Parts: sequence; structure tokens; C-alpha cells
Amino acid sequence: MSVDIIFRIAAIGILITVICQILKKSDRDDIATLVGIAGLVIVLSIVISLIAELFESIKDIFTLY
Amino acid sequence: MIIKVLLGLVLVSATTLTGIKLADKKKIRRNFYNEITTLCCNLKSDLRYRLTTIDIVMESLPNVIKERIKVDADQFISGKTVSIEDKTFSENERRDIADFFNKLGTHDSQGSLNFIDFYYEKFKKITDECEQIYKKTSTFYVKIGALLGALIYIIVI
Repeated sequence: MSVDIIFRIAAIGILITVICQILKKSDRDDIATLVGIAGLVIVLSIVISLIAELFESIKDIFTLY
Repeated sequence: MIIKVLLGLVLVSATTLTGIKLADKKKIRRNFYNEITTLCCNLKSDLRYRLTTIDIVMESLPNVIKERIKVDADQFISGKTVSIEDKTFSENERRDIADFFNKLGTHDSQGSLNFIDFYYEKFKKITDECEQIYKKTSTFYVKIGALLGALIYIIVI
């Protein structure tokens, strides 16, 4: 795992937060919620493989089969 | 690395330009209604004091209106009806604008004043709405465009 992914997630988080704030200020709360959910899905899709890897490692370490 | 930066710049510029284009649509509406409200005021004072004929009025229409109604003074005098197909306006707005130009100059002096007054109130209300919408959305689309471009760049590259 490279450190890049942490920076990428942080950047996505910052951008999504700013977009949400702008949308909320323009009375578009519903779209802001959708953008927040979209951001969550994007970040999840990035880290999902890493989470799977983590579970595999835990299973290996504790010999859980 | 340089290619990545260039790609990022192109992406952000493209999405920002899209935002600017979207904001421009609102600007067109605002300018159009501003001009048509001014036209109503000018027509009212013309009718009261100067008695300018309708052909001169049509000749001196501002470009933002001329481009939308697509009828020049000669065609207007010869009775060609004005119809607006611009998708910037809703169906009701297009009908109102067309009605205004088609019925302009068909009444006597007092009738014309009442007619212009009626449409002036209508257009003034829409102008105020357009002004508020423009203030709200002019920077909004540009900001969202730039931020979305940056977001896409981070996700893809």
C-alpha cells in the first residue's frame, strides 16, 4: 500500500466538503446530500480492496479459516 | 509528471468553462428582461411626450432583444408575427414576449399605455426574479465546475 492513497482520499474529502458547503449555501441541500453519498461511494470503492486485503491478513495472522 | 499536470489543467479548465457557459444562460435571461423592461419605460415616455413611431422603436431595439425575436422593423411593419423559439425561456414566457411584440402598436394612445403598463409589471416581476437567480447562480456554476474538474482529476489520475 502506498501513502499516495491517503493523500488521494484526503483530497477527495476536502473537495467533497467544499462542494457540499457551496451547494448548501445555494439552497440545494438535497444535491449536497447526494454529493456527500457519491463521495463516500468513491472513497469506499478505492479502499474496498485494501479492506479485503486487511481481512485476509487478519485471517492469516490468527489462522482463522 | 508534466503530462499529468497538463491533463489536470485541461480537465479543470474544461469543467470551469462548462460552468461559465451555464452561468451565461442566466445572464442572457437577465439582460433580455432588463432590456425589455427598459423598452417598456421608453415606449411609455415616447407615447406621452415624443410620439415615436413603431418602426423607429423596432429599429432601435437593443441587440439582445433583436437576436431573440428575429424580426426586423420592415418585417414587423408588414405584419410578420413574432415567435420566439429560444429555449432560454419557458413556454409561458415565450408566449408572453411574442404577444407583447405582436400586439404592440395595435391600440390607440391610451390603450397602448395601458397595454405597455400591463406588460411592464409582468416583465418587471420576472426581471427581479432573474436578477436574484443570476446573483445566486453566476459564481455557483463556475465554482462547482472547477471543483468537479479537480475531483475528477484526483479520482482518475
